[in-house]
Amino acid sequence: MLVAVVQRKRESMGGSAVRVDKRAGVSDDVSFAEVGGAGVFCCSHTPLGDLIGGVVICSSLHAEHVDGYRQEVILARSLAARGYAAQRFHYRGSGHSDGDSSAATLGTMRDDALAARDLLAGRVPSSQIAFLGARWGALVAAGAAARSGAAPLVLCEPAIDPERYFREAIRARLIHELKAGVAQRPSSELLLDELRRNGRIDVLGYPLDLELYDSAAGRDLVGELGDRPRPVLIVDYSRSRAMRTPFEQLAARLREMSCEVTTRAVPEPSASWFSRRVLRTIDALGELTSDWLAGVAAPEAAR
Amino acid sequence: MTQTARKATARDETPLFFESAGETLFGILTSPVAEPSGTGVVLLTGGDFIPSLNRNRLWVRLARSLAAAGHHALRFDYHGVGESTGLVEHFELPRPFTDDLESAAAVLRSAGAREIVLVGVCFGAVTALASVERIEGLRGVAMLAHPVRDFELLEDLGTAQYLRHVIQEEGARGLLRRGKRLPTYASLVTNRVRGAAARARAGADAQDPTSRQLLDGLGRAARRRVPLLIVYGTEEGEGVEFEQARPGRLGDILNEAGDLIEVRTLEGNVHDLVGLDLQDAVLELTASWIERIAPVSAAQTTSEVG
Repeated sequence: MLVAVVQRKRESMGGSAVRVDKRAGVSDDVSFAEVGGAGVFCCSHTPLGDLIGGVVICSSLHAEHVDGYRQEVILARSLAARGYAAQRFHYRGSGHSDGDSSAATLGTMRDDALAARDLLAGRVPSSQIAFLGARWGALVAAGAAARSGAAPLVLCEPAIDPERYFREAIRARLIHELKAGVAQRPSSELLLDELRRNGRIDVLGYPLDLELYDSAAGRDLVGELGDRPRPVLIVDYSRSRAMRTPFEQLAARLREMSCEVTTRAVPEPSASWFSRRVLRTIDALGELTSDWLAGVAAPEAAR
Repeated sequence: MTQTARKATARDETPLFFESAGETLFGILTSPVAEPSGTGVVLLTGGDFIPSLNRNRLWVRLARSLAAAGHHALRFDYHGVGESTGLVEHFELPRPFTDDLESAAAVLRSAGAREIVLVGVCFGAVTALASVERIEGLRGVAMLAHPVRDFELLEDLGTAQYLRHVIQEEGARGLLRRGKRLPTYASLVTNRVRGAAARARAGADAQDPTSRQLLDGLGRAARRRVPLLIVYGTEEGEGVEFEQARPGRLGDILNEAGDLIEVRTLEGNVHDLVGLDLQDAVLELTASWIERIAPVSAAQTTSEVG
């Protein structure tokens, strides 16, 4: 049998579940951690053998969180099998965690990522913890990395500009309604008015809340990252195997800030609000990330 | 003076791994925050690699709502999905994940549930209905957007109609992808020819294009006197197909079942759960139906204060 030990224990908030896979050399420990009085769903993926370092994985939002879910589980297990403890979590107000999405902001998400880092710091020296963010999660990871010394940062198809990210989401709703033949379709402007008026709009069955929208206004990924140079890996999913222009531009901006930037294109469909994407050759990201982390100099201790 | 039971949170939830047919599945058990009713509810997502959260964490909200009414609830990831182990290439309606569901129901029983209610969307509904005779203490099944025709089977849909469906849904690429399964389809077409011959012998009733899987499942549930809630949305084809199928064997089953089977239509797309209002309506409808088939006494839903 692949899984050697399965155990369940009741301790802390709601108890935790542990799965030990001796063949892969990995254990998964799932629990709820308390952050700001709320239960935050956390999964710790730990190597059974020697520990090289750790990675905090910051997910994207809503539909992109669901679409990328399996990919991130396999990524985390793949990293653990290569010696890197991986810490996944669900933001307060999302996933299995407590809270309402209307209270979530870019700041609370960053705090959740820092809480996840602290969980990891119990097993891995904080100087050896990196952050990985996918799409919206890249903004969160950048903010958390900026508060963690010179922590290395992996950005997967990063959302660079929150305003543009939200515009894409709204456009996805409009296109869905167009395809569905909805007679009276609001414009983007009307939807933004509705967001201001009601504090929330419905984007394909997910709430886009004003608190989050406002919390990200005027911010961008480079600004979140602060001034401190750090190693950065930018991963793009691109069928053409070429980095898309916005990510090349991001790499150039980060190099201007003296960051040591590596770019890699993975030949897979891009993520988007417009269509579901379930990646099948997803272990590639684990290998890519662990190889890159092994190559970057050990960052200074987190402060 | 009484007050309603408090809302369940992560404090009332236990993450767990459990075995099923050689794989390790992940689930979250929500414990009742009111006096336990003895009923446990299994929440099943659709196929397509949707983790146990469901869209906009609908299953998280429903599980916690059910716990406030005194029920246990379990949401879990199928094998190959979410936190579970295993590999799934694709989800096929004729091959529901009944082993996964049986293992999930066993978890609820071990937590103290004497009766089990199943709630599933699309593939989850197919899995739930297919398990009617395999779940000990089954109290009811809520089927959201259960497919009415087995598109992947060809047996229940004309070949030309099937090809049109594939092109409409997935374009020429979808057609090419299916081309890889030609040997399977060849055998299905053979079955189709045999089926047509059988229908010619059996008469008009056998011309019914409704999924045998659905009809047989409903029939089994009705014979076992298992209450069913069937829900479709106004924006999905399944609801229309369900109504079109009523004059056939489906109608006979519904008539014989009487009040055991409740059919409801909600505004929107129940299959994809697109729409916040629709999600609230699904949650409300499902929770109130469970309340009717597995009632909790007033003393259990409220607690004395002061």
